[in-house]
Amino acid sequence: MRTISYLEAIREAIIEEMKRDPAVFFMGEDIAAYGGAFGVSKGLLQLFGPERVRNTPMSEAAITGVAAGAAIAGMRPIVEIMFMDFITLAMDQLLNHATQYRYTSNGQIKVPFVLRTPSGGGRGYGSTHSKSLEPLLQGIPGLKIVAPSTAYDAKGLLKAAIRDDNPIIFIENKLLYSKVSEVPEEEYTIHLGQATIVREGSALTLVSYGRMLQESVEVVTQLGAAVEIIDLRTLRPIDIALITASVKKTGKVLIVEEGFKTGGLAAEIVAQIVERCFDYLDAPIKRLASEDIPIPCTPILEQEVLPNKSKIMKAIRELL
Amino acid sequence: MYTIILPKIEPNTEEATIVEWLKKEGDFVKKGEPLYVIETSKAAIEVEAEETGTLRKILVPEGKTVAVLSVLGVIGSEQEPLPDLSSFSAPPMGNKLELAEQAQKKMESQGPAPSLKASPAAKRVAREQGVELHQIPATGPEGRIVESDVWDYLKASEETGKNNQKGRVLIIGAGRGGEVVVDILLQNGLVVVGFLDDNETLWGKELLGKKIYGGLGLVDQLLSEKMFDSTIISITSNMKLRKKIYERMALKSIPFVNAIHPKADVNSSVELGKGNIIGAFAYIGYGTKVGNNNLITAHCNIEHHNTLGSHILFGPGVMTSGNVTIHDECSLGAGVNIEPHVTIGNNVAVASGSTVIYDLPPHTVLKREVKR
Repeated sequence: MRTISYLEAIREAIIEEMKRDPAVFFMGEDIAAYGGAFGVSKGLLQLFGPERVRNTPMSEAAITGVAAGAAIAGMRPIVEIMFMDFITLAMDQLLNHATQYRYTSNGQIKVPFVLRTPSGGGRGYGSTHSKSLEPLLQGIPGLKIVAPSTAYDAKGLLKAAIRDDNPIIFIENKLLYSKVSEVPEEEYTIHLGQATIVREGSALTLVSYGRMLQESVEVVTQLGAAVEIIDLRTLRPIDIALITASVKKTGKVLIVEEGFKTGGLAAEIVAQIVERCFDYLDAPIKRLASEDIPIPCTPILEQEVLPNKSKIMKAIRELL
Repeated sequence: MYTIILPKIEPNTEEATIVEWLKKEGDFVKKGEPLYVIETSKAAIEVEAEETGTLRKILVPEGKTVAVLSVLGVIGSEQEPLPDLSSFSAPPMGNKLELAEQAQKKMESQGPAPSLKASPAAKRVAREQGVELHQIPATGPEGRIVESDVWDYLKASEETGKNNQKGRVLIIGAGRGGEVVVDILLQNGLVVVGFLDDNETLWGKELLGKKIYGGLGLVDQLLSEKMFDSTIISITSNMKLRKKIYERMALKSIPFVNAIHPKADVNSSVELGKGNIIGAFAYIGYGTKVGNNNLITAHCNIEHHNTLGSHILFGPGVMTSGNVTIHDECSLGAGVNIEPHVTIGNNVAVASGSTVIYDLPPHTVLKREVKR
């Protein structure tokens, strides 16, 4: 099978969906002629023209509000927020508007748009361009959150997200953009809300997503340990059924995420595991996440703050 | 000025009674001279003076019991003014006992000792498999029992045959016999669910940390709720009641378990019924048949090829020879000896210490004169 990068997979998904459905259009800061901060949308302007590939002013609130409005009016916008750190500027539109209309209109209004945004550290971008703010979005009813860890998942999930009738946050990890994996040329989508077991094992359930999932896979492969690795793929709603089935088998859990530890995604997953399969736990659940401090710019300090392979290895060893 | 301090004479002595002062206040006393006599739980002891001087003050009068290291009096020169002695006055024992009682009550009010550490999974498996956690060796971090420990334990006990009876046992009778039976069952790795007892004053209380649910009438409900797998009667004082209850339960097809002390030696060829209690160091020899609901207490020696009926009470140290037959509902006192090939009919009572040489017909009583 051919291999393409995570970034190319995302671009392919956008192109295919824009070709398939004239209601799909793309907008964001510097995404047209420049091709976006990370080059995801390079070539899109030439393919679809300025009507469907639109630069916006530097206002995340405006971008998100316009997307929600266009979605209500029957369009299916894709928007790019240049860094996930800036999503706080779009919070009011997300939390108080876009995600509520479907409920408050008793289902009469649909708000189908996808907000793509790159997250995560590891490139020395410092505290305002390195965060993984997934947990901030966890508690928003009506929102779906998707975070692929491979090129294959990125394409399948993005296509499914564009076709979904709800506001969706699509989280892309910066360091994954260049990662290459097998992606078929044939059309496919991946159901939202479904996690997947990327490696089977009986001794420990490791739950992760995004870049940390890939780091975990490398560590476990190196250790050769009987660790079952679950890629969440969708962060909201969490596929708790798959997780609990695995926990019932292994009795031990490690959750690895790149966001801050306090109030993190892992905290929610731990709570749901304890609610559903307390009697199967054979050890305290372990969480591995970023330290609760702003992400430093200095690469050495940044590595200290973010989870990494050696921290994952240590956590696995402590549990096995 | 020196204080006279009650020494801790023996390691286990915490208190002593001042039996006699050998000197009066104002007497001169030399170091090494006997000064007073104390009585501990073990002996009466003369205690020598540790300093030379005048016995200025006796703080603990004869007949009083005080804790070791209490100040008993003061030795000094005659001219020296006495210090404030109020701080030296030893607390009388009454106070100490009260304090001990208070401490005990406080401990009790704080509830049982902190429970042992086990993972939820270990607890679940132990519950499902009918094993008490406290006997499982822990290998997990911080002394935690983990799931694999339970499986390892089950596997090991299966191999040694120690845990050939499994399940959760409901004990009938929450008296002293109940305590004995709990002790035996726990040592066998069985789970004790709790007790039933017709004594209403016990209902809702606990014995050895196990709940006394209520009267025997509850048994059907507890059985339908699958609260227990088997039962055993712990009543040791009234064999007639024991029999009555056994038959009542047997009618309901409630399964009975045997409570065999791990130190008892039951030959593998023995045909053992159900609901028997077999105490420590009891021996049951080759080819012997044992009925149901018997109480075979510690150190009984049941030799080879005996035939025992049901509902029989064997006092401690009953010794039968080979080929003895004992029918139902007999009661054999402590230390009864029975010669080979003797048959004892049903409902026979044999006094403690008797030696039975001939067969005894049913419903007889063999008395033995005891010198008073």
